[in-house]
Amino acid sequence: MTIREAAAGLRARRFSSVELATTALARIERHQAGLRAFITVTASQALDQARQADRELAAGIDRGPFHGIPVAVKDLFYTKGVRTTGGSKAYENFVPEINATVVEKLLAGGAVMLGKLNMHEMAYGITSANPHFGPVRNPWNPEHSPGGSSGGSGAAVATQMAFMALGSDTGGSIRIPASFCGTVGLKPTYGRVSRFGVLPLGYSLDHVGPLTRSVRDAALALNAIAGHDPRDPASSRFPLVDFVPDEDCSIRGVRIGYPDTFFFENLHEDVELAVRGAIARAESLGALVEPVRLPDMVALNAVARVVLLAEAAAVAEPFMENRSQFGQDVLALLDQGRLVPAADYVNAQRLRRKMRSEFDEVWKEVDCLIAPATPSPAPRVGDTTIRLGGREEDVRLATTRLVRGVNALGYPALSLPCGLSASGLPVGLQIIGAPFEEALLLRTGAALEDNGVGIPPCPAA
Amino acid sequence: MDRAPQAGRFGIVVLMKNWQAIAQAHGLDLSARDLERVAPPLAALEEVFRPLVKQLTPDMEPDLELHLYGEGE
Repeated sequence: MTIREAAAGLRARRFSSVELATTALARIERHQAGLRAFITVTASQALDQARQADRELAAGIDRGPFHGIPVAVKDLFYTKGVRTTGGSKAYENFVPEINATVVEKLLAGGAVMLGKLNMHEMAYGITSANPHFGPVRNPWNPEHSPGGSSGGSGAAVATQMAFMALGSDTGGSIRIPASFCGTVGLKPTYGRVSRFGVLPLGYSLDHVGPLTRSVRDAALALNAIAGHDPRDPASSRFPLVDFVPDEDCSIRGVRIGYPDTFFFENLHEDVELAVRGAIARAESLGALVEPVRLPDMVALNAVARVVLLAEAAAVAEPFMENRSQFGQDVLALLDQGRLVPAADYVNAQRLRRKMRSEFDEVWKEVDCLIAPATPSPAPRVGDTTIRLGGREEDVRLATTRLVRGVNALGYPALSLPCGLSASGLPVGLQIIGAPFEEALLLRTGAALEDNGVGIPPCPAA
Repeated sequence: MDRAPQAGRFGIVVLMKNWQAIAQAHGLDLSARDLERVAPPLAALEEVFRPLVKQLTPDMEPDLELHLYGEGE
């Protein structure tokens, strides 16, 4: 069931919010030992909120599409009175006195908060194998990674524990778990959604967005959380629109760029097949698909890595006296960041500006790009290398190579499932657009979804 | 690395850095095991990043504002 279907059912009194919340909590209880999607479950609070939602709907008070809908948030969003760990020891006793802006917006919209989702430690990694709160597992096959850093968000949405989960994306951390867990994931334009009350990883790269079961649900979530926030210095005043695509939305005439170099190199064959199939479907729906050459993505990834290494090291500086509190992978990245000279950080930001102006030229040729979200389906838990295109790659760098650069550019990107691999794991594509063109991405994604691009529900749900 | 390093991509020789010495200069006393986790990724990143820096001209300014399109406060 999607948010739209649940919202319709609540208003038709086919079921209550308490029933939805009770079902969600039962799913969490059933899956928690195996998948470890949650760090904190706020069952009592959720049921109180659900009862209030039911009372309000019965009284004719309607707060909108999220009224009475069970959702959850990654454990780096401030939640008033509820511990917020960032998946780390550094914040293990942090109980915020305020809500993040996005949490406040969801609660104001009547959402029912189920709890705080597990994640990669400090949001700094792609496995969600959290050394402190247990490893999140992939619901399609627990022997495989759920991706990260928003791994709990992906697992919770795929198994229908939550209708929507908020995640954050600094170098792919929404799109990677969405791809590996078979959900929709939206990284909006930088500045579109407030980061106030969100534990930072990389100030100039952090984005907040939803993981959902459908494209239109992602659009509903963006409607709920987008908008200017004076408490976030990067927040944009760019005008908002209704992001939800029409029922019969069309992509006829939309110019879709197909970046055949870089994005289609060194892929798992099942990924290439599924994404090319989706592109063919877009063309059959009247989109104008054309190959497009992009500026140097390898260079862009290097620039994004230098920026992130430096910014994350700056964020973690106060915690570095107690090195033993970090997992080995996160510690290694933080140490690397401490060795990046200040001049390199500034030069990376100079290159970033140069590259953004080069990339902005792409939008004169096409309206959006379609590419794989990850070069392979979810790797096995514990694998450190992966063989793609005849060469061995570091799993972290391979998994982030198609998503990381978009964070440095700040462009919006929508990930959606487009097939299953031969081994039964989800494959995700991403639609990348010009700044503040989320509505176009969502319309394109919805048109594909309406016309058969997708996967069946996760068997574990 | 995001892809195999391209030696001489821009005709520039990238000098090997002594990461242990750099770490010590930063007050970071890394064990041999820690250094093994830190040095190879940085060296690989250096091979791609350093030639890019060499392309910069003084008029190219950094992108240091925290908002993209002049919309923030």
